[in-house]
Amino acid sequence: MKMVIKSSPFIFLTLMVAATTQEKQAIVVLNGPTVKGNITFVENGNRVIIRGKVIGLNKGLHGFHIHEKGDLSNGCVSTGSHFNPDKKNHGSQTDRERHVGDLGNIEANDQGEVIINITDERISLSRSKYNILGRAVVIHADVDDLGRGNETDSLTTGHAGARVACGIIGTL
Amino acid sequence: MSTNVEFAVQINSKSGADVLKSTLKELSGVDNVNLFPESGILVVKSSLPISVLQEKIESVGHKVVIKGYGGIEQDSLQAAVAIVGGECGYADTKLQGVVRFIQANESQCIIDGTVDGLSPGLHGLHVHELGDISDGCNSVGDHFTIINAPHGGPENDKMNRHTGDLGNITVDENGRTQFRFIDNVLKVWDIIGRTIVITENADDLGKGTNQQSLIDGNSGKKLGCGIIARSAGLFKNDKKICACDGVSVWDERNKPLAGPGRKYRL
Ligand SMILES: [Cu+2]
Ligand SMILES: [Zn+2]
Repeated sequence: MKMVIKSSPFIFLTLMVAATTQEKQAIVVLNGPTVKGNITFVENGNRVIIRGKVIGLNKGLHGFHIHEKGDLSNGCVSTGSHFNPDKKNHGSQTDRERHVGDLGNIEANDQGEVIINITDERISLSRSKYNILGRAVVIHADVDDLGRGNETDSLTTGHAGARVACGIIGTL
Repeated sequence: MSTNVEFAVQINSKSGADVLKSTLKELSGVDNVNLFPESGILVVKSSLPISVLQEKIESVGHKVVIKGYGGIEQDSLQAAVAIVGGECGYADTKLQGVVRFIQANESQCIIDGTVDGLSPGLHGLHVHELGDISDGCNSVGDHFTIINAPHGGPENDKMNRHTGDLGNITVDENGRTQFRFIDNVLKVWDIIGRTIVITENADDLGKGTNQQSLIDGNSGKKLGCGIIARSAGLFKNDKKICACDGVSVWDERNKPLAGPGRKYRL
């Protein structure tokens, strides 16, 4: 945010206070051929509130993850694995053993729409090790088994299948 | 200032490998070529734009994919990439491009890019403060700046330019530009999650006579933009197959980034 410093010390002080209490925010715009939506991330203390609406999905559960890199220049390969700074196994959002990027599933209704409202304490917009800015949000075709399946990739990706939408997490 | 770029290449024969190595070594601007045929990894140290190297490798018959770039000791925060236009960025026109940022050391950031679909001549290149493309390139905010300074050119010191003022890029008659330059003010870690924008007009670098010159250099409409994302540093990307859908590094070259084209598994 650009700050204009005025000569009055009073105005300067209030601007400083406003700056320190300001919540950090981020946004992802999904603009695939069929799947579209906006998702915002608002940091409040050590929590991040994720809210948004996504349309154009098939009815049912879809894996919802943050991948390590936001680099889409070479598709999924260049986004790397699920964001995993603590070197854990894949899990559900509420598991202790999870990737930081494991946000579980989102469920689309009959119209293919989903309203997202998730609070998470592991991702961050300020703590550098857990910062999600510049990484990718990916919505998958299939359900994330939350590491509980018997598939070979249950403990790495939750066997959530192909990607149906992706977007880069940008500063808001 | 040279940097290392790591490529994955498809090598089918010893003679093919030799031709590739000698072709690259002959290019002026290339300092060093290291090829590891068993793993299909090629590392080129040069001061040339990455796309120039890529085209040269393809010209002698090898498929190639960029895997990482930067210095060996660097962590991943020192490499970033923005895709301008396409599905993940935004552009009004047919404009499409890739801009990469490599933090070579504390002070020098290398900006390397290729853009197609622009009119010939000069176009402004700036980092804007927000990574919000919900209203296309209209919602990315002002020029990004750490210091409250007027708009300027990349040659100005940090007190006399916006942090994100990268000046102009020069487009040829075919509508294409390939560039590589060093900036001493911008740092990769400050711009992650923000946006790179290419403008319709040339940037007057703050030397114009009107007020707007000190805001955006009269660079006009934002033609295309892309969010600056984290990218892999050198040898940081060991993946050859996509974990989520089994698509390999080679298939990705012709695949849409998302949607029905990605639905099958190999
Ligand atoms: Cu500026
Ligand atoms: Zn995971």
